[in-house]
Amino acid sequence: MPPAADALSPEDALLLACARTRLSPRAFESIGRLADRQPDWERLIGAAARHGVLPLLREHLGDLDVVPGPVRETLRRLAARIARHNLMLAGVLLDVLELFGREGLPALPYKGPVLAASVYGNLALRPFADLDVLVHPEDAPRARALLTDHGFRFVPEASGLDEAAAIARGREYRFERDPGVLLEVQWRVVSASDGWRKFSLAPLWARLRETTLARRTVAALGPEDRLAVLSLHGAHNQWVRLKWIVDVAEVVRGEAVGWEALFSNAEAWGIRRPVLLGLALARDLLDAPLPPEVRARLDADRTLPRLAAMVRRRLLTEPCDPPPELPLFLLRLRENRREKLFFAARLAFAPTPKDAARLPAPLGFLAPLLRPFRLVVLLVRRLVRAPKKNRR
Amino acid sequence: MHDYTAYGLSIRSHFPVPELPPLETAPAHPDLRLRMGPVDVETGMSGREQTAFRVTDEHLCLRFPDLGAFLIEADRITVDPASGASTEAVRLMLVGSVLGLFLRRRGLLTLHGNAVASRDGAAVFLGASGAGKSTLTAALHRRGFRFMSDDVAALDLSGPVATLRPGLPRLKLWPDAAEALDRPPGGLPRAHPGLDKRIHPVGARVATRARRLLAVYTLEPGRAPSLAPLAPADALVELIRHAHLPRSLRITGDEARHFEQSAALARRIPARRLVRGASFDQLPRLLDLIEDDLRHAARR
Repeated sequence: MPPAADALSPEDALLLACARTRLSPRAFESIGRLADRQPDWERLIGAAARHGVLPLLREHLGDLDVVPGPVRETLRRLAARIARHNLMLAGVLLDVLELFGREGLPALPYKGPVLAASVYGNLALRPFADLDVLVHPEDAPRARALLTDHGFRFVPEASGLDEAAAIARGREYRFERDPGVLLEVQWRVVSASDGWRKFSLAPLWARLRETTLARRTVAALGPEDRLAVLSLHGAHNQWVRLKWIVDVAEVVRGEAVGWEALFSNAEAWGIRRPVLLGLALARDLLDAPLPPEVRARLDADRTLPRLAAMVRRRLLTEPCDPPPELPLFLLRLRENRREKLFFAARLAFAPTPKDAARLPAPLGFLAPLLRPFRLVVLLVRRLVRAPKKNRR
Repeated sequence: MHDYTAYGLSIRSHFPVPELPPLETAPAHPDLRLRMGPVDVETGMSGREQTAFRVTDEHLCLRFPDLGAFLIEADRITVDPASGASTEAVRLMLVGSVLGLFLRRRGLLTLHGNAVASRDGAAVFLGASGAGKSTLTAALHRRGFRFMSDDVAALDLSGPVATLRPGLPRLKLWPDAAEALDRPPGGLPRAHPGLDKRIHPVGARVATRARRLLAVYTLEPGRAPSLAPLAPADALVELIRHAHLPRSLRITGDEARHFEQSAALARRIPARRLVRGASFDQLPRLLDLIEDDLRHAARR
């Protein structure tokens, strides 16, 4: 159920009310009333910036007389800065897609400018810090060579893995062109170490669609695959940014989603619960309209309310990225006992790039042994700190 | 002293710059002075290995490892060549990137594009390097259009109508395009060392004064020539993407102004997406499309 506005702070209520591209007449009136209560504007603007919904706040509050002039001016200035950054990155993305296109390298821009243009209908309304382009794993080395030949600087990972191992175990190459121009060339949406063993991008490549970005035709995900990928991405970050939930809500509102296809794919990929959670959050926090059969699926999963509560607690309180309870959250997202065990084992023994970086290269084979010790040390530290925190 | 004119500026230089068109009557107060002299490249410089820079309210200082340093001030550019640098290469940098940055500091909107003018006004062609801007410009010039600029299109948005200022009367062409347009490249200077792109003098039909801007075109490869309007929001992406030296906008603090100017231009001037054909044989069809479109734009 949507949170009752009275149960929220005035800032949170206004933040959630503004976090959508279009307003119904009722929602417009409600925003006017909430703004008239004169919330803590500074706190509201800070939260909107942190959650990536500041342009939407500007869109819905920027012309309201009840909003103080200096607040409107701050919103205008900050939204203009985001618009400039987005437009600049959209230009860079077009450069990269043209480069890959000339070289016959298939590429799929799946977040950033394409998401903003096709789902929000406006490049300026959805902030994005970097560009994400999916390529086939076998094309990753060629993409890296092309980009470094064309002014992009490769940012090596701390893991120090060689190319074959990086492609097998990692998920992306990172590049920088200028300050503020970051590009991630990815061949996975989540790392191999994150589990989700059944999730594969291969079928997704086979059913790509087209969209336009500044009148150029570019490859894009259909609404079902977009929802699946957005849900998986959001879940892996415990949905700590409101903009990720807005993405899901806007796809639901604006695109013709084939629900049967979505759930059939999600079952096959073993990501049913992450998808359900994304939809539940979009419905509960942002009133995304879901058909009855989807609502029935949400109501049937008894774990969802607990997961949604974990997200809400983090979303509407202090910013924390990544949240300390993320491993538990990710464990609960698994429905199958075998998947839970597999994920727990990976968590306990599979070395992360950070673990690998702690050992000199010749001792790299010891990294799986180091991992459980590191987890124990982390746990003990947390236990020692917790009582101190409680005393404060 | 040597007096020249480019981009609507009167330029007085302490050294000869044959790339610039001469000015017959020397003005008492030139808009820009060029001089050789030492430039401080030790204090407060930052940047990558290739180009170091320093930006203050008063000046912009650039240092290129093999060429030397350039100090751009309100009405003066000081050139400090590196020892052993080719004089011609230093001058090409001066009349290209450095002059472009000077124009930007003077408040002009500078785009990476070529421009020609009909009797009614000017057209700017934007596109990535290799998109065919210079070939198209040469073909339009041969058809009777006046040449306006190659590589840097400088737009003045301060008046009631947007105007384009004439640049340098030279055109950089790849050998195949030059041959197709009956401009044999032999003996002409190279645009960059190691590139076979040659600098062709334009000669006749060169615009000498600013012209009203009629339309902006983005040039792209494709199978057959076509032309389609761009919505202002899409045009804005192209204008930002095809800024002159786009990667320097943030460094020099000009990003916000370029954005505002581009947004104003996208609202005021029609923009088109122009697809050029795959071969030189399709050029006449492309030129017809542009001529028709410019006639319509002039009647707006």
